[in-house]
Amino acid sequence: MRQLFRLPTIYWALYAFVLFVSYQLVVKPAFLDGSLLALVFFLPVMGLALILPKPAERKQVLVFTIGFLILDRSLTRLDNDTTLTLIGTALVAIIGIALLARFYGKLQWNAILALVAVACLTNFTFNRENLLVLNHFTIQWQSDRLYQGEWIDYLPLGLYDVNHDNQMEIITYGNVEEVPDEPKDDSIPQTDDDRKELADELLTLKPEPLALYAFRYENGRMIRVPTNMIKEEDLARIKEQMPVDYPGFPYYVSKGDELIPQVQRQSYTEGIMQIGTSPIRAFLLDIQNIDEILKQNGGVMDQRHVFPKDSKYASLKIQNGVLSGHYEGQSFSMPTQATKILDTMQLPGGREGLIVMGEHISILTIGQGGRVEEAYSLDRKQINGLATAELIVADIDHDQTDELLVANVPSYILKPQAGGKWEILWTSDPHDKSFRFSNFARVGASQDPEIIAKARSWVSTYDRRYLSGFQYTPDGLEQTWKMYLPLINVQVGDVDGDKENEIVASVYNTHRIYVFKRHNIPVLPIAVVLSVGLLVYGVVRRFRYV
Amino acid sequence: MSNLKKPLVLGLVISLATLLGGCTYESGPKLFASDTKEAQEVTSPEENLQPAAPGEAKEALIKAIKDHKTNPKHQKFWYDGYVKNTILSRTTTSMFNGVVVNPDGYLVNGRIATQDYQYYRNKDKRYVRKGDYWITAKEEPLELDVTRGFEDWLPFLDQASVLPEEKVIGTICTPYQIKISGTDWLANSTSPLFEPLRQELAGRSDLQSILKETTVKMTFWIGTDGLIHQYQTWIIVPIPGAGYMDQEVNFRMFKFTDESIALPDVAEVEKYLLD
Repeated sequence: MRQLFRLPTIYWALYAFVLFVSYQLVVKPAFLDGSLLALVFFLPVMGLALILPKPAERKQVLVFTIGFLILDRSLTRLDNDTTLTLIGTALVAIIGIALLARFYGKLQWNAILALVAVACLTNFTFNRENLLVLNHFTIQWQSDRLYQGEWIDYLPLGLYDVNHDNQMEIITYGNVEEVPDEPKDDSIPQTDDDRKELADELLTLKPEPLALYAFRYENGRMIRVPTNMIKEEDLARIKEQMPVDYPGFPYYVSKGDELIPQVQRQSYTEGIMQIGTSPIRAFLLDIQNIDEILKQNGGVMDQRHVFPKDSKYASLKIQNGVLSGHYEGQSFSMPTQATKILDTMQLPGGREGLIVMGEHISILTIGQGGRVEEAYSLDRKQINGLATAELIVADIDHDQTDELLVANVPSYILKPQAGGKWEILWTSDPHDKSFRFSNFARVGASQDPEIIAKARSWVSTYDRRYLSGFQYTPDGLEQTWKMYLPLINVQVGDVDGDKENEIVASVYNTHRIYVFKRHNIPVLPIAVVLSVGLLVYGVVRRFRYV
Repeated sequence: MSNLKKPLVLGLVISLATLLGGCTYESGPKLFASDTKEAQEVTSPEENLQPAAPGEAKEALIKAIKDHKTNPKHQKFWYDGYVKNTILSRTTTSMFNGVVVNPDGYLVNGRIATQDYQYYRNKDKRYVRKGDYWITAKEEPLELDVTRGFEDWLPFLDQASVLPEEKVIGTICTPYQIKISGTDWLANSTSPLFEPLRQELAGRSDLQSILKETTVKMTFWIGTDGLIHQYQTWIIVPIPGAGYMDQEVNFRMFKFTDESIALPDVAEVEKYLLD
């Protein structure tokens, strides 16, 4: 028992901790980023590490190392259905590894204690997903799953200052509080009534509640702001400013706080299986839903009372093929094919352009007497997939004239030039299907806004996207940080009121919201120094004191 | 020891450079898609379009419909299809595949907005499968006529174009194509399905505007056997607040001479009937 509290216990614990840091913060990111290149690099390093322990100790060190990494991994994958199964599976993993270490590795009990203690500490004391972002961020908050249903993969996410106190609230949609939390019953129905009830339940597509969720950061935690506490005027602005999204369209349409199915399996299938009529039926379903949306909007295609930034444009509306609004207080209108008011941008010569989206993109300017001109345009021939592209307005070269970041394959950075021409400042590799601009904003305490984009590894062929920060330079986009999480719906704003901007995002098909806080601790250099230090210690110990 | 120093130092330097060094994403070719060499060399689909000979497309479709409906050798076939709707960055798809055995019925492996199901129709029996159970379908059935609706395109085929021949699942086909506006489609189609919308349109300038801006491009592929092998319709329709939706309705029909095609036995399905 006494040996448990001797110095070697601390050494083993320190070794386990450095091993953890090295594996999680250096080796794993290198593999996520570098793929085979990391393998080529780390294989010799592992070979070196293998010969560093003295032959008499090699088996023990190796068993300790592998045992620790396996236990650390297995404790992340426990059966957490109930507390009992969680404790039970954790005990099985711990006892299994401990016995292996003791009887195969011939490790002393103090080493086994260190192994188990550090593995437990690294698993049960903090949110492990932090390890994927720790180089530059920590996870400040992570929501529960907000959507209880089987078919929506993601929902819109936005930020809005509900209380007008310069602290942004997180706005999204969900139904976790609206859907009763009933345990899933997988048992086979026995009575006729039970069978009939289950048949009725399974046969039809049903409406799903889908409510607005607004979260406010208070006293170190996020709380949901009841929708009835948000003023009508703010609710209208939130609706205007939230990213437009139609989950399930045209099979579901949003009505009030519900998504209502517009089809049922039998009739829809029989209709589509009159194959010649299938496009007519598809189109009629579109029109039925568009009609419903137009009725809800009073016939308005899109409108924007004000932009969430200084702008000369106000009271904009598209209705019956006409765009109307005010520019510097002067009214204007023009016929348009556009259906979406996107944003405004500063153009050369101090003009402010209005960006609208139809089948193509138009940037309009308002001249004397409210005369509207199309100053710039982008069409589907210039940019393949323009209909699904997202546009972000950003002054990336700080010349008081905005550029357009076109999130697409490939992505573009476009600078407006005189005469309605575009200068292409940068494009992503045409074969890179992963890169996509997400935002342009200040992150953390930085005063310089940066490009935030989803980008895959530099050398791996694996297409998984990781959120990264970039600064534009004439040589290209210089990466400033990276998070090893495939994040979508990326928003940036001060959600905790500390005057620094956090990143708010979600992960596809999880319906969880994350808030990431930027830090300035050089985590990677520290982790590299610890890893190299461990190797150097091994070399010195191996060759100096033979 | 000295032999080990050099590779060790080199390894450390490489590791530090790799892990600490900044990465720069250099620009790709600074060209719009329309300005690339590929775009200028490749003939666009529109350039491949040739006006079909007068009556050619109409005659081919009429003949194909008749064959589909009456030729006893072509009453069993496989099919697959989908309706793909893309609005901004979101795509919602419904999918279908299975077999048709005329005049008895069909089996459909379907998916609506990521929710899988099966639909089985055999004479007067109609069942939906969800999960492990079959359930009796209770809605009033539509007529079983898989080729219904092709004839509604006939009024438009005088303006059809013909595209170069191509293979659809092993069969050489001639594609015929038309491009019309939503307004034209509604005004000239013979489909009774459009009737309620025609009546709704009076006094609805917002919907009229939607139809006016809608583009419909339909292509059907007639095989050397005279049958329809593929049927694709692109519908580009304005969506409030979301640009234009690209909707693709695409069906392929194949293996018309596969004698092994059969519907599952009704008794086998009813064994797992829940209600």
